Amino acid sequence: MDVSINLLDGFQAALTFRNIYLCFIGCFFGSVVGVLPGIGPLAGITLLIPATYGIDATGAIIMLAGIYYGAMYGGSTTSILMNIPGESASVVTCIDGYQMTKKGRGGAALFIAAWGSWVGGTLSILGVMVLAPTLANIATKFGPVEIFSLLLVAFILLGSLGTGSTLKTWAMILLGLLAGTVGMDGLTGALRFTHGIRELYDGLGFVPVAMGMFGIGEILGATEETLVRDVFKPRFRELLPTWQELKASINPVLRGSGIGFFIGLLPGAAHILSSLVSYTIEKRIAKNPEEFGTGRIEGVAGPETANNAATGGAMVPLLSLGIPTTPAVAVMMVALLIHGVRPGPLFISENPAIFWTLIASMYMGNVILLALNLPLIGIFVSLLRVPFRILFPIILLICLVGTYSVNNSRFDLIILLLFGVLGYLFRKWEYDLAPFVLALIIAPILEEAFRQALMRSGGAFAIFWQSSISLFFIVVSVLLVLLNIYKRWGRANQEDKGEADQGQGFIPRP
Amino acid sequence: MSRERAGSLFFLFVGLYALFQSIRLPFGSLTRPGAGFFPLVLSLLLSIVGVLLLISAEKRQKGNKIDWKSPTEAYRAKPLKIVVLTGAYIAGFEWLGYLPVSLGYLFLLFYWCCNFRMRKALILSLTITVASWYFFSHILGLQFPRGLLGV
Repeated sequence: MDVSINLLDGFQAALTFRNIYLCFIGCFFGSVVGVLPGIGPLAGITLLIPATYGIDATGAIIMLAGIYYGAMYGGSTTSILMNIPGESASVVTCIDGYQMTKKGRGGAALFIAAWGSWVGGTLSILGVMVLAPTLANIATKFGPVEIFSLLLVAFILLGSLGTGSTLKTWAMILLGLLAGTVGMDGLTGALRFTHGIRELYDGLGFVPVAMGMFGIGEILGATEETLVRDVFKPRFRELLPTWQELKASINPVLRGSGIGFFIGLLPGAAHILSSLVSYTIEKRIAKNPEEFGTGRIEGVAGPETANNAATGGAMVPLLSLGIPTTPAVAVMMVALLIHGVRPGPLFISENPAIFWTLIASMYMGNVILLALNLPLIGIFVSLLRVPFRILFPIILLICLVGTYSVNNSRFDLIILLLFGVLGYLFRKWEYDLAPFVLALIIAPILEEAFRQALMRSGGAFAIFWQSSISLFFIVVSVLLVLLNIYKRWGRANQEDKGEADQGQGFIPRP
Repeated sequence: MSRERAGSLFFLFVGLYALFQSIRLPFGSLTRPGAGFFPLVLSLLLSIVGVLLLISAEKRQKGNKIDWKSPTEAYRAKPLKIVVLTGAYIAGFEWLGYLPVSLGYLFLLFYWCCNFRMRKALILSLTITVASWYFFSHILGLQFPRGLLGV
C-alpha cells in the first residue's frame, strides 16, 4: 500500500514538463552515446554533469539515469546493423543480431531488442522498488564492521566474476585501492603520495581517471585498427517482427529480465556478464542450439533484455548501500555527491521524494526510449556512417572538455592523459579496467570502515566475526576464495592433461 | 618483452614504490591505525601479486609478445601522435584559450593523424571548434579560459 502511494507521488513529481524534458534529453543523449563506438555511458554521464549544475538533484539524476538507460538501448543498434558493439554490454548481441541483418531481418532484431529492453528495464525497476528500501532498512543497522565485511565480499565477488584472470583482476583491485589512498588522510590529515603537489591533496579525482581509462585509452587502442563498416539501414516497415519471432522471444525476454536484474546487483562487469549468461542459457536450453550464431532471435532477445535489466539491478546497491557496482553508476554517485545528495542506507528515508521520483522517471524513460529508438533509427544509422577518423577527434575533445568542466582544473587534464595512456597499456596487457575504477571510488569507504572498526575494538580483529552480519559476509568471502582456488586447481589439471586453455585468447598479429 | 612480463613488472614496481612511500608514513597501531597502515598493507599485497604475475609470466612457454607496431603501416605510431598532441593541448589550454587551442589541436589531429588533406582538415577543425564552443558554452553553460588572445 505504501509502495503504491509513494509511487503515485513519484509519478506526480516526475510527470512535470521540466522532468519529462530532462528525461528525454538524457535518453536521447544516452542513445547517441550508446550508438557511437568509442564513447560509452561513463563519458556521456560525465559530459552532462556540468549541465546539471543549474538544476536540482532530482532533475540531475533523472537526466543522468536517462543516459545510462539510453546507452544500453543504443548499444544494440551498431551490434545488429554493423557487427560492432556500441558499448561493451552489446558484444553478445553481435553474434546473432548481425546474422539476422544479413538475412534481411535486421529491423525485426532491432524491434525485439528494443521491446526486450523495455520489458527488462520495466521489470527491473519493480525489483528496485521492492529491494532497495528493504536493503536500505537492513543497512541502517550496519556499522563500520559490517560495511567493511560487505565491501570485502564485493571485492572478492569482483575478483571471481572478472572477465580476465583472477590474479590480474586482483592486481587491478589492489592498484585501485592504492590509488584511492592518494591525498589527504581523512582521519589524521596526513598527506599520502602527493609529493608536494597541491592538486593531489583531494586525491586523484574519479572523473579524470575514469574518462582517461575508458575514453582516451579506448580511442588510443581503436586508432590502431582499421574499421571497415557496412551499415545496413532497415526501412520502417521492415522493423516489425513476424508473429513467430515475437512468440519465440517472449520466454528469453522474461528469463533475461530475471538474469539481468540479479547479476546487476553484483559488482563488476554486470552488463557484459548478464548478457553472456543469458546467451549461454538460451543456447543450452534451445531445441537446436547449433542454430545459435546463424541468426536466432533468442540470441538477441535474451542478452539485450538482460543487459538492460542489469541497469536496474545496479541501481539497488547504489541507492540502498551507497556502493556503486559499475563505473557508470560510480559516476552517477559522484554527480549526486556534487548535488549534496549522499546515496546510502539513509538516502531513501531522508530523500523519499527524490527516490520515488527517480523510480517514476525510470518507468518514464523506458517508454521514451521505446518510442525513440525505433522511429529514429534512420538518424542513428546516419551517425554510424560518419567515418571514425572524423569521430575520434570529436570524442577526444569531448573527453577533454568534460573533464576540465568538473573542476576547471588543468591538472585534471594531466591526470586524464596519464590514465589514458595507462588505460591503453592495460588493454594491451589484457587487464580489465572496471575493477580498478570501482576500487578507486570505494577505497576511502573501505579504509575508513576498517580503521574505525579496529579503533572500536581496541585493535582486536575478533570484532569482524563477533557481529553475525559481518560473520556471514566473512564466511561467504572464504567460500568464494575456496571456490576460486578449486576452480584454478581444476583448470591447472586440465592444462596438464593437454586440454585447451579457456583463459584470455591472444590473437596473433601478422 | 612479452605482454605478461610487462604487465607484471608494472605492478611490481608500483607496489614497491608504494611500499617505500608508505614506510615513511605514520603506521600507528592496531588500536589506532595511522595514515600509513592501509597503504602499507595494500602495497605489500600488490608487490606479492606482482611477483606472482611475474612468475606466471615466466612459466608460460610461449610468451605473448606485445606487438608495438600497428597492424599496418598507415596506423603506425598513431597513439603516440595523439598523446603528443593531447599533451600540447593541455599545455596550451589555459594559456591560449579554448578556441585557438582546440582549432590547432583538431587541425593537427585531422591532418597529421587522420591524413586528411590540409584544406579538408582546416574546414573540419574550424566547423567542429565553433560548433563545440557554442554547444559547450551556450547550451551546457561551461566556462572556458579566455587565454592570452582573449577568446
